[in-house]
Amino acid sequence: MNGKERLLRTFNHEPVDKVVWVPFAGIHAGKLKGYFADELLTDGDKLFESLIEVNRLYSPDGQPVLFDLQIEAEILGCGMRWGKKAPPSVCSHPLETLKLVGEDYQLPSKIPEKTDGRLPLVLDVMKRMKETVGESTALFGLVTGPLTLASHLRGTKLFLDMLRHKETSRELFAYCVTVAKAMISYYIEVGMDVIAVVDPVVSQVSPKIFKSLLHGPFSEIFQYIKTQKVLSSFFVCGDATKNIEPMCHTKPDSIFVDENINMVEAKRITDQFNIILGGNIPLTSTMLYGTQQDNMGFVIKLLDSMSHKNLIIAPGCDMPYDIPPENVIGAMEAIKDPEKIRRALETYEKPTQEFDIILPDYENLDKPLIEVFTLDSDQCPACGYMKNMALTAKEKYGDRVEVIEYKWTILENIERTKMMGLQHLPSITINGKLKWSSIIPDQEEYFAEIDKVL
Amino acid sequence: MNPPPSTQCRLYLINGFLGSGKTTLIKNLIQELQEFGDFKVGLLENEFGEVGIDGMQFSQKNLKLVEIDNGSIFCSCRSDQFIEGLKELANYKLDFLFIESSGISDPAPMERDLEVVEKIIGEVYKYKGNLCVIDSLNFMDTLEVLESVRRQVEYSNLIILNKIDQINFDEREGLRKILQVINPLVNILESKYCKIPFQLIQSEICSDALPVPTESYNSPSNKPQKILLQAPSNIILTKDAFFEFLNHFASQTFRLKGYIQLSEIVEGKTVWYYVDGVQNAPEIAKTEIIREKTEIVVILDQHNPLGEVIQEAWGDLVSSSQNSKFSS
Repeated sequence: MNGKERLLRTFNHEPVDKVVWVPFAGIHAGKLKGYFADELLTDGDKLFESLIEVNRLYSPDGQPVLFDLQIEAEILGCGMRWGKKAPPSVCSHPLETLKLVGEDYQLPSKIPEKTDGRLPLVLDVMKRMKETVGESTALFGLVTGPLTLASHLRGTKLFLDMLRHKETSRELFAYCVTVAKAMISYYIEVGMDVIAVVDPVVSQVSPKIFKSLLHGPFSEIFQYIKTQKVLSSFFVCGDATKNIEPMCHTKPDSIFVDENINMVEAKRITDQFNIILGGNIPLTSTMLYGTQQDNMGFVIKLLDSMSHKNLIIAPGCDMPYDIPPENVIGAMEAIKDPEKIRRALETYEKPTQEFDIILPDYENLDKPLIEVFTLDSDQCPACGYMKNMALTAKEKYGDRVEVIEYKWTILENIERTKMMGLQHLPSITINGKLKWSSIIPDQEEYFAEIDKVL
Repeated sequence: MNPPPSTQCRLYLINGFLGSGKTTLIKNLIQELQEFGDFKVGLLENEFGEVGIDGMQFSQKNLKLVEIDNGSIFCSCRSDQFIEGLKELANYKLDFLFIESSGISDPAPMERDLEVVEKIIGEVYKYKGNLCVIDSLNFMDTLEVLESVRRQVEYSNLIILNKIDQINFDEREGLRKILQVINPLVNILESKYCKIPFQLIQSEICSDALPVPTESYNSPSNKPQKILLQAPSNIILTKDAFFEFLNHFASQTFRLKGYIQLSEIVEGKTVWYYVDGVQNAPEIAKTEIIREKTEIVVILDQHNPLGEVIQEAWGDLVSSSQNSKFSS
């Protein structure tokens, strides 16, 4: 069963061999190839190259092509402010000065076309991703939800409009629904398997307002996706606890939440509606600032706390740029092989047996010693690539160098890894010194380091 | 005004919906600090398309401003930017730091993020609390629309009821009652243009506001223990039993504060009491505020071993009242 089949079966509520894994690598994809957010989101080749690296290292069952909620807003006239480690921000709102009282106002009517803004780039990368990994990975096309798009267009005045000018708000949401439908049709045309309607602002509105003003627009979007015979998802971030049930009533196939939501409680609700729930590895405290073991531990705890039916494990939202790749790899390994990781974690935290490990005398080696420390190179793709790169030294240098692999899932190697002071796997050391962690070196760089010690 | 007693930077969060007066409050506080002391002040802005403080006239000498890029929309996945901003400001050895949050942001994750910051860079900041600025005229409307506005009040340590001159006496009383129901444990200051002496803010800010024991990832070991004692609305404690409980434990606490429903029948209703006090002198007074349930926050020294004992005794008190409950 490949990742895409696993995801499709999960959405179809059928049993699967493993829980589905969908890492939301938006701007973080760029980090893997050394591109900042502004380069990544404006250059199709760099975006494609980075997404392929995500696919290679993180082995996702499902993968978003672009996590940028400003695509539509930019086309519709919002000002953009670009950053290096975050998606662009909306810095001006075209409808902000619109007076709703005392004069005839005109809401916009422009619908994005395939040739507008960055859409040609987005659609091209979606097509290339479909051709390259579309057989084995389910691809997510993300559209901006009507509440977030409306707030991009109107600014914070929208929130008072929603009370004082309900009809105008309804008209604005209806317009945003039309925009979303156009975007969805384009994304479906280039082969997206799941359409995710992303609306973080939903967590900030009251359930009462959601029911009265937003139930209709979201229901219409999810109904439209259904008629196109494509799967749907409702992404929210922030504390949307009170809106989980109203969100279920809009009938998406799945809902994704972040760490502000108690997954166990949320799943009780989504299970009543037979809706898939995805989430919610904490982005900052665990993924960005935690250790690889923290990430493994969080995933194991999450898996242990609820039924695996209708469940997807994912980061809480778009991953921060600087998340260490090894943390994502750790989370992935815990999903792919929870039993093995659980045992290894127990040994890591409380060793139950002593191993008589003697580290080599690195100062007096006969020849360069290359040690590659992996989680498990047979299971973890990133570890496999790291190991294969390490082995290329044997091809080039033959017996002039020695290459050894240590798998973390073999218990005595946990102790060795600790003794070496290694925090992140996979890693390569040369003569006992850490050279690469998680990011696999290119061959030229790798051989250059070996040449230094030959 | 005295300088901070330690090298830690005093940190205040400023919340409030668009147009409530957050920026004005910060401007006033910074001006006051610059006029009356040689303080180094920082400002971290986390805005949602609002007019920031950037263009205002301040002495730049002792002011460090950082604006974080949160993707414009509210999005908790951008809290890495918030943390980076705090890390950057930690280099400036500030005396005070104000964080002006986005008008629709939820303060709960922000407090959690501060714990992450402490884990990364140590105890650079001393979190003093969350000031919630309220636009008296528009609060009820925004409350109806935005869940985050309710949470801003719930998580506040001091409420500033701004533009108070724009509502009448009855509206003011009504507003106060609603705020007290959402967060009974904080003080409310009134103002016209957010002109409130900083010293008053410092003395009125409540360090143990509700909701208390929120789940956190890394609880710093030096924080005092906070215990939340609760009883559902159908459990009504007798006055005698509650006073006995208080007499027994009050002296062991730093502070206790909350609302409690006691069995005293007045015109067919049970009576709500407000209890607030430090150690041996908790004051108890009748109140017209009716809460959903009895709720008392107890603050103990971190090493006080009585936390569990108090909770156990409270559990016994509640269950014995349950057995002898009466309907009002």
